[in-house]
Amino acid sequence: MDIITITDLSKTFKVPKRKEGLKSAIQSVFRRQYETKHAVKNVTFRVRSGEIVGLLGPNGAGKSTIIKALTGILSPTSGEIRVLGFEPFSQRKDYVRHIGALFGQKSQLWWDIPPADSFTLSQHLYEIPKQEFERRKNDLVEKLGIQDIIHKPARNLSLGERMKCEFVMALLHRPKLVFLDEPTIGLDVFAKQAIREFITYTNKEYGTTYILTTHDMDDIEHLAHRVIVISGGEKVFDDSFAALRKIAGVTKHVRVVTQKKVVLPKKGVRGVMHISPYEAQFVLDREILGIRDLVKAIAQKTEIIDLTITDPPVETIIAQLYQAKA
Amino acid sequence: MKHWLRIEAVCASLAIRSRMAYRLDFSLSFIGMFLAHLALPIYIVLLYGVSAGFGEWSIGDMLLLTGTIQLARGATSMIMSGLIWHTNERVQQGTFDLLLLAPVNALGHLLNRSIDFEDSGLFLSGMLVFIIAVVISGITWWQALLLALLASFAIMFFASLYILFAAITVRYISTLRLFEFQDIAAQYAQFPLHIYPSLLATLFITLIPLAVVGYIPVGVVTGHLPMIMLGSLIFPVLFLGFSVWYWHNTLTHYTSAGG
Amino acid sequence: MAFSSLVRLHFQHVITYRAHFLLSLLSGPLYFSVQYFVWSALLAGGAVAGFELQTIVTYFVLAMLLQYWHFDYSDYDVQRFVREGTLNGIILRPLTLHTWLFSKKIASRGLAVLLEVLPLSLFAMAIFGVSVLTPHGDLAAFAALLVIVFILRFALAMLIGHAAFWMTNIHGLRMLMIPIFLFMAGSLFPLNILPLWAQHIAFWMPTQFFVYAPASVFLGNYALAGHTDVWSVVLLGIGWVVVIYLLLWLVQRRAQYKYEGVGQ
Repeated sequence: MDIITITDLSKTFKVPKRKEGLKSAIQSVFRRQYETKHAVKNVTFRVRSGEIVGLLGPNGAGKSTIIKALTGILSPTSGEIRVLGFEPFSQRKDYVRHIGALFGQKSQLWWDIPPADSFTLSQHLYEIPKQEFERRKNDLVEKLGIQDIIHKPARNLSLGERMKCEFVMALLHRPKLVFLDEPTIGLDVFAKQAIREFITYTNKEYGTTYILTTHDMDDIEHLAHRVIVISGGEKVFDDSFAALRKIAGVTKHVRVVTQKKVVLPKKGVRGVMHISPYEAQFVLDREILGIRDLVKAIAQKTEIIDLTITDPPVETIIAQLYQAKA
Repeated sequence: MKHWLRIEAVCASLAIRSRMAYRLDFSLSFIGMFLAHLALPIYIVLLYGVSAGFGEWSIGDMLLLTGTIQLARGATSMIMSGLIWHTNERVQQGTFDLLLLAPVNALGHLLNRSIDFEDSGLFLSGMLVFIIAVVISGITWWQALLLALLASFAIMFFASLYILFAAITVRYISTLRLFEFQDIAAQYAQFPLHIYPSLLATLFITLIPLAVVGYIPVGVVTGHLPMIMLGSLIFPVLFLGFSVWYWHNTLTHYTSAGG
Repeated sequence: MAFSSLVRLHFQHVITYRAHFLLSLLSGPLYFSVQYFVWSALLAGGAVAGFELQTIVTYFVLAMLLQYWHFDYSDYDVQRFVREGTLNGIILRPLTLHTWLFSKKIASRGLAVLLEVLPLSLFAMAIFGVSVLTPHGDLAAFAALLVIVFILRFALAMLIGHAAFWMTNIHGLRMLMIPIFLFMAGSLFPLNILPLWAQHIAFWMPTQFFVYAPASVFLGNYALAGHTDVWSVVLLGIGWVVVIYLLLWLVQRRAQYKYEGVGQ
């Protein structure tokens, strides 16, 4: 069953235009010039109940605008949105009862008091019966392992701890659909892991549908059943992660520092960005050469002092998507 | 409404708990606020010491005026001054959107979140001045009660200002300096209307009805103004209507243009 | 970094807040107009404490302009530096907090002169026929007082701001200062309408330099608690600058050891 249908969604903004310099700064006080920005252009997609869908794209691609239109915060300029049978913007008050939202960089917690106190606001806002509220709270808190944390003032918590509390806040009213905007941004590996497990758990246990935007390819790889890539306000890809891999390739960025002169293997190395006697940076195609084999090949010739393997930036993936299309 | 009041109660208790995280700071701020708002009544007393004052208005009448204004201002501030702080903070941190995720009316919820007891010092100093003024001016306690009831129109006026300022914060400029304009309105309201040119005086009854904050109720109760002047109390009601309309207009504007 | 380039750097930053400054073009006239109406009404009923309408209105215009001239936000700036741990950024560079914030003040007050003081002077001249450009008193003493109050207000703000090394929030402390400013600075009323005993207190307070001393020296009618010699007032001002700086130096020394250098 589809719970989200977006048809031909477009959103344009009027943004003030200003040149550099003092003179135009003063001018802009009296007369502002505007230009029209097309943040989202004719985007169409559907989401089925129980799916976890990742929205991937560089900064300013229009991901957040789509999320805001889906949550009823922004009105669409044109196109149609139906979520859970509602029209989010015009039926906002009734609609938002059924959804949850978490914005990685914007806290919903009260800064100076313990999260446990902040939770009571949700209880009353969503009119959750007292017993039911306690049961759900305990369940979520236990699942995230934050029993001791929720009684300390929010300002004394680490980012990871706070994020876990934000999840409780967003899920207390048992929403069918949850929007996550950069849920793992700035978190360490362990916190990321815990949060991913939690998302998977609620998805399986309660059938919660998730829409998440992220920069982090690992998030997408571990969580998303489906990936939608947004670039320049347009949908450029909509399929499984495996399909994305197939098109964009399975590349990693590698930086290696060695004791003696570094010799790179002939196959599997796609582009070399930098090479000097003891250091090399390059793109590795994992389909041709696995990381183990790469390490083995280099280590045969010299000792490895340092090795860093990272995901290629989203921009690279998008460039590859465009290449594949052409 | 019942739902709103329940949330208001929850928010009030959370606000108190938040503020009590800085108890010493709160006490200092309370004392500062209390004393600072005695400055204006003391200025009035000083003026009556060196001059003939404001025509028929005795020093008691003038203090009654100050007391009523401060009482109303203090009451409004406790419930609503957070509206500007809170909106300002949200606009600057880019969290204003999140307000729209609550399953309630946006202005109602913003009001819920805005309750704070920072201005309780203002309320108490208003109370003190009011009581002293009642004694000095020689009005009866029944008249004082009537005056306190009429102060609800003053609350309406200040509330409208806060709503307008919150809308301006979202729409044009995010600055706490907007508080100054509420202060200015209170200063103009502080003196009998006859000291202003007639055009300004008319403006203060109608379009910017700051006369209802103190001048008209106090004038009627003390007998300086005819009963019929109470008819002008319709203007703060209209003013409130306008500010709420403007807020909704701003929100519509925001949701179609912001982002 | 040279001091002048620091000032230029801050100037580029504060100019982005120009709209905040321009709000004064609205609030300033509203503030001193109310005093114009009040004193017109009072004087219509006979002379008041030897003031003429022109003089008293000029006083209130000056009071407003002076506050724009020495307005200071350094206390909150210090608090922010301490709370957010961004003080590290200053400590790690060949800078002191004092240099950083003082250059910021010069930049922001420079803009205030352009966007607040000048336009409002012209406004007052056009509407009330009040001239804030032609002094009646000792111009040299007035100039000296302008410099003194600029530094004095800064030093006091720094002193209050340093409380942030010990308290999490200095807002309350700042609020506590407000009634002192209101009663003892002369922004709400000229200090010489106070009863004599209160004038004696006001004379010995650093707050008289914020409004009353410079404004009345400009008008040539300085008289507080029987003192009328303007150069001894200037000396008193210098004395206060020295005292506050001494206190600031002491507090700063202790604050160094108190600083934890962590965010939040």
